[in-house]
Amino acid sequence: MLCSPVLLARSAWKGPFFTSFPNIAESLRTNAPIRTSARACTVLPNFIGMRFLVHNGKQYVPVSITPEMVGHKLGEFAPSRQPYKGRPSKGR
Amino acid sequence: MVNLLGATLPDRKLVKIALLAFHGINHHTSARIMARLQFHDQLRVADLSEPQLNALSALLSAPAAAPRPSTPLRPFSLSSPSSSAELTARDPPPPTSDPITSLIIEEDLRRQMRADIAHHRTIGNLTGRQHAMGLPVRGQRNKTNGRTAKRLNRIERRNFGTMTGGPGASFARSTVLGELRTLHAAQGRPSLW
Repeated sequence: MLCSPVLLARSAWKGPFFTSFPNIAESLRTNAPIRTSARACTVLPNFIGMRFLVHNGKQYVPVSITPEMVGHKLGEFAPSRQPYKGRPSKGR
Repeated sequence: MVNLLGATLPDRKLVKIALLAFHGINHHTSARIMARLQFHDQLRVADLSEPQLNALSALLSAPAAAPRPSTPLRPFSLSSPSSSAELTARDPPPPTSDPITSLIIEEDLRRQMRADIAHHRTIGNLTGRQHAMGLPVRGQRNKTNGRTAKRLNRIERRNFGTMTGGPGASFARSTVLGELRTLHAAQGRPSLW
């Protein structure tokens, strides 16, 4: 199976990198999304079921956390680039 | 020619080179397998004896069950051992750090890779999206270039192994033994079974 991305890059003794959100308990109770720009924050097991608004550089993208997302970073779910689509031709 | 687990190993090749026919075995792993089975470096496929062939097929079909090397009794030194106290067995290294115990090859490896891509697609992160769109996954530009990604990146990634048999290759132990039996019968060798 896929190794958790946290384990691939980082020393085990450090543990996962995460940002502490003071309003987690309240968010779990009211199901209100947490607005954040901490894209580097690892999804921890106690985030499951929460909703986030993750900054992608321009907007806040809604992300709801499922159990499979644990170990990934929040920023992975808010793409920061638009896919390249060709230019429309002139005169149309 | 030796048929091993669906791959055909040419007689003239060195065993360490012929093993590269398996998807998931590189030069390094091949060298580790050679060392584990105590094959000498210049051994050719044609020179493999029947027990050696059996050992090789057993190791490749079930790497986790392969016997670990015996524990060195004492560290190497030029001087002769002075007392019997030095002849205590050391703890073998843990199986997790053994490159052969954790060896995954051929269809198992392909299945694992497909599962990893499907996982990324299910959770909908950037890696999964790029796979779905056939674009490079690791931050390369995609306005130009990215031709390898266009060719290979799919949700169901194409088979890119060297084996033409592909999914037809079976890894059941009984199949392996059956292949060996027919092989030995064809070459007129005495069979162990």
